[in-house]
Amino acid sequence: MDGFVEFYLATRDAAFRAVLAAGGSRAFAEDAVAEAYARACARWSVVGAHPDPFAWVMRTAFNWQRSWWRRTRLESLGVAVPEKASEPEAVNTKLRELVRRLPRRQRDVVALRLIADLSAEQTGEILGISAATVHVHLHRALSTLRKQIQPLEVP
Amino acid sequence: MNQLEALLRDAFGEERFTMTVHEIEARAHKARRRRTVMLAAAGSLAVAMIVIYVVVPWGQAKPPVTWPMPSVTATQSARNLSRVNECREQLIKDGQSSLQNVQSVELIDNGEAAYIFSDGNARYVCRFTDRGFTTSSAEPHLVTPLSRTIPEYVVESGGDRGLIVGPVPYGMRRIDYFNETGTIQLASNGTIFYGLVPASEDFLGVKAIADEVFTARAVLTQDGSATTRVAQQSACRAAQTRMPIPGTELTLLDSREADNQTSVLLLAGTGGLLAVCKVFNGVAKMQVELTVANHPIYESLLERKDTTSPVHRAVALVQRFRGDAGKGRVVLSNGQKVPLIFANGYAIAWFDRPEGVEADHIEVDMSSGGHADYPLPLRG
Repeated sequence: MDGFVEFYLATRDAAFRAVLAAGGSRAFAEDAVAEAYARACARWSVVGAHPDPFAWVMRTAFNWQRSWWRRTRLESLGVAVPEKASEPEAVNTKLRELVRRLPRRQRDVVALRLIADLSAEQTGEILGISAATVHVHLHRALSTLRKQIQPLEVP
Repeated sequence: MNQLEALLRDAFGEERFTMTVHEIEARAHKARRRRTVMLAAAGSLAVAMIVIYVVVPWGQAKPPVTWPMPSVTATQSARNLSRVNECREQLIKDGQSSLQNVQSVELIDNGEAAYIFSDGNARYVCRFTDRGFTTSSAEPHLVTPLSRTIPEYVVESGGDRGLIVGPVPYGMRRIDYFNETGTIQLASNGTIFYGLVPASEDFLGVKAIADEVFTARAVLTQDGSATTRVAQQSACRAAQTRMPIPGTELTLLDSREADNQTSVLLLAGTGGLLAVCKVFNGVAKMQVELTVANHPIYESLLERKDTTSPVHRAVALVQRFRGDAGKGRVVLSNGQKVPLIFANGYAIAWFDRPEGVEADHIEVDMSSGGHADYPLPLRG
C-alpha cells in the first residue's frame, strides 16, 4: 500500500471539512469519510493509480453520505438532526448555518469547490453536472451568502 | 480568492478528522470481507420495462393489489435464480446464517435488480447494477396503515438514480415516493414496493396510502381447552398465524369472560393493528376466533336469544389516541352513549346493545378542547 498513508494524512482533513460543509450531521460526515478512505485503502492498488485519488475519495464519501441521509431521513422523518456548534466564533457558526441552508446542489458545489478546493471540472464530475453548471451554482451560492452575511458586518 | 470564500474556508478550517490510519485499515479489512462483489458487466439492458419475479412468497401478506403483474420469461427466471444464489452466498459469508425467504424485483432498466432476503427479523437487500452488486440491511417496519408518512428503507444510491425498496405495509394500496419536485408512484408486487428514483433531488419521504381499511379474520378449532389468560393468548397467536397479517406481536389490553365458556381478549399490535380474540372452550375442543383490523373494531360478542329478551353484547375497540385524548363515548344508533374506557393508551367500550340498535360512531374529546369522531363499521 505504498503511498496510502501519506495520501490519507495529507487529505483527510480537507475531505472531512468538505463533507461536513455539504450537510448532514458530524457523525455521518465522519462515517462517510471513514468509509471512503477505507474503500480507498482496500483497493489502493486501483485507487492509487487513479488520476485523482482525492476526487475518487470525495465522490465515494458523497455517495455514502447521500445513502446515509436517505436511510436516516427515512428512519427519522421529521426529526431534525441537531448539529453541534463546535466553534466558539459567532461568524463561523453563522456562516456554517447559512451554508447549511443553501439548496443542496449549491451546498455541494461550495463544499467541493471551495472547501475541498477541487476544480470546477472535478466538482462537476463528482456531482454529475457540467463545469459551467458548477460555476452557476457557485455564483448563486456566493450571492446568497453575501446577501445574508451582511447583517453580520463582516469586514 | 475573494473575502467571502476565505471566510467560508475559515468557517470549516478548524475541523480535523482524527481517525488513525490503523482504524481506517481495520475498517478496510472489514470492508474487504463484506464489500461489493463485482460481477462481469452483463451488458446494458436498455429495455424500459419492469419485470417482477417472486421466487418464494414472503409471508402470507396479500394486501389489495392494484399494480399489474408483468410476465417473466425463462431467461429472466434463470438469471434471477443465479443472482439470488449469489446474493445468498455473499450474505452467508457476511454472517447471516438463518436466511429464510427471498423475494426479488428485477427492474430491467440498465440492468438494475434487487433481491430481498429475511432472517425473520432484519431484511437484507442485494442490489445489482451493471457494475456488480451490493448488500445492505434494514430493519422491517410495520406502519400505521392509514395515509401518513412512513419510515422505510432504501438501498444506497449510485450515480443519478437511487433504488428504493421496502415491504408494503399491510392494507396499503399505493406507495408514493415524494421529493421537492413531485411524487412518484412506486411499483409493487403486492408485498414489496420498489422503484428507481432520482438521486439528485431532495428526498422528502415515502407515503403509504390506504384506499380502504381492512379486516382479517381467522378461526381455529383444536382439541383441548385454554382456560388461563396465558393459554388463551397462546391460542390467539396460533390463530394469528392463519391470517395474512405480518408477524406483529399482539399484546393484551383487556379481557373479559363473556360467559362461563367464552373469554374475550382485546389486543393491539404495532402499526395501529387492533384485535379481538374470542376463545370458546367446548366439551373436548376449543374454538378461537380472531379479528384483526386497522380501524376501530366493533364486535358482537354474544347473542343470547330467549323468548323474552335477546341480548347482544358488543365491544368497541378503538385505536390508540394521542396523549391529549380526554374522554369519549360510543354513540349508538338510538342516541344512547356508552363511555369509553381509556386503558394503556387505548380506548375500549363494553356494552350490551338493545335489539335492533347498532353502534354508530365514537366521539373522543381532546383535552385541548377539540373532539374527533370515528365511524364504526356496522356489524350485527
